Amino acid sequence: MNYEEIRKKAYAAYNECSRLQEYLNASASLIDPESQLAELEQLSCDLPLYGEPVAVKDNVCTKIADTTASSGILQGFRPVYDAHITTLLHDAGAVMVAKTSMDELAMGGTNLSAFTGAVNNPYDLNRVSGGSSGGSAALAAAGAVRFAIGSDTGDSVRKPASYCGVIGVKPTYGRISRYGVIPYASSLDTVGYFTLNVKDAAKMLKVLAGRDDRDMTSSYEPVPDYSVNLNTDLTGKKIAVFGNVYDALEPGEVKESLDRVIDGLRKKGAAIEFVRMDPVLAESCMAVYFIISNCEASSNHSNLDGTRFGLQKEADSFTQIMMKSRTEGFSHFVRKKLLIGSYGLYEDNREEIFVKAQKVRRLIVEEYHRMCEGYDALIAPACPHGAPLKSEAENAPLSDRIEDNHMILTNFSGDPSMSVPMGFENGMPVGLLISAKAFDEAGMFRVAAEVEEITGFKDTVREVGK
Amino acid sequence: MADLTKEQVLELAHRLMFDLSGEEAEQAVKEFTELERYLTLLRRIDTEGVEPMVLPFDRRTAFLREDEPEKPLTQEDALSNVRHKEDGYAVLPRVVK
Repeated sequence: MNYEEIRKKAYAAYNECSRLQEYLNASASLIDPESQLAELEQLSCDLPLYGEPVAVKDNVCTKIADTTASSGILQGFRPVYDAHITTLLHDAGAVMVAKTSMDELAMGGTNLSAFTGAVNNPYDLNRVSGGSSGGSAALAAAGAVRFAIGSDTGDSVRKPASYCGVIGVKPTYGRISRYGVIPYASSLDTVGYFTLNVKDAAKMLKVLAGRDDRDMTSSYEPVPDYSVNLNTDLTGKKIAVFGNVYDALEPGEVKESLDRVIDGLRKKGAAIEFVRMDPVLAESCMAVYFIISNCEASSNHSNLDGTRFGLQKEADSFTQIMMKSRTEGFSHFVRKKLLIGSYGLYEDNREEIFVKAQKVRRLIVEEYHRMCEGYDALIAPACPHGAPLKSEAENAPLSDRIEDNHMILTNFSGDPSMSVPMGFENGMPVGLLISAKAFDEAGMFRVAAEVEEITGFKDTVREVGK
Repeated sequence: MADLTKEQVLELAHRLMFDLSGEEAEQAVKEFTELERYLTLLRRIDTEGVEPMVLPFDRRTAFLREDEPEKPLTQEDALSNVRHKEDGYAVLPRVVK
């Protein structure tokens, strides 16, 4: 592709993100590609993402665009440095065309709480996109971009991927540097991304993975070429089906889709077995997540004080500036979460609340690893149903059921996990979750490539408003 | 953990440097009821002798760097998002009246 074609492609993506705003409300801001295209002219066209339009979640710091994490408290914030992954995308030749909407400060699973309003699902505009990386998922699903960046603290890439019918990857904790990504819960946060096929998923991880000294949790594990050995057969591979989740499925399209995938994997040579974990630990996942994520968030967001960046309200005193900025800047939803988190960290409460949750987290992870021992991958439906209506999701209470929360397990354990389109339920997409051992993304992609072949869902795009 | 009153929740909010409307405080009280329900779930699990899990992996990835100066943010960059600034400082209302 020559430079003129690259230019056309970048502007086509930029204009498409702009056109889709009326339908999806997926962008927090748009980025005119002009300055990036000028730089691209100086770079080698052999770069892995040369001229590839990319959408980036709005919690990733970008010098060329405001970074608000979809929160009022960060209105107008223009970072003075790029996130590590922003630099990597640039160096790989990618062209950023949009910063994408998300649940406020990534604290949610519906994308209803963004400061700029809900993101709509491309398959039904009355339904949620899922969150917190909903804007990125929706733009990829609608075909505006083939690559989009998200972040995953408790399923925030994989849930919107499942709801929007795209691939969503949460790599191993520490595989991708989080330097310059606005944190939510630091012991769980992982940079992730969306693509339309497995080959692109493998390609993107090669671009983003690797040690970065500026993120103290960044791994030294070598980065392999994830694209080799895709679509080799699965003979000798052992794949576990998450029995607790399977048992909870109602008869219907999701279960039928999963059974078809299981049958297809068997035919491709994989040995399939059902595994189960202790139900008491399984139903404690949301409790542990609720406490750990809120406690870590309350600590991380104490720097949003209304004095140095973001929303800065006028008042007569320093403390009143902080009070007014934080009251107006955070939605009530976020303030509630910060209250819980701060309370759990009080010296008198810490042992009973935060430390207790950390201890149960260890027991859950040990049990999860016991269950997965000896298997190359674990599969389950990512979500038990397709995306709910926005009106249903608005006031839905948090569920303790493992079928709703099982994706959190790999945030607890740090293992890699991804959602791959599996089928539909009443016209809404549903994804298959594939999880693997830490740093075995190559093995995970291998299973995903076979699933892609079984289902036939590859490069599937939902046209919107045409 | 005793149930929190609306007043206690408000006091907690003020310590976190934000305010709540009356209705918001009532909703926040309900959030603490949810926390108590979660704690009841967790208390069923014996964690005697279990080490808290702070990060997913025990592998060491953080090291002290050499004590060499690094290029810091320039003053201009550090103040680029500040609304009121003067002579290289962020200007805020006087603290000592």
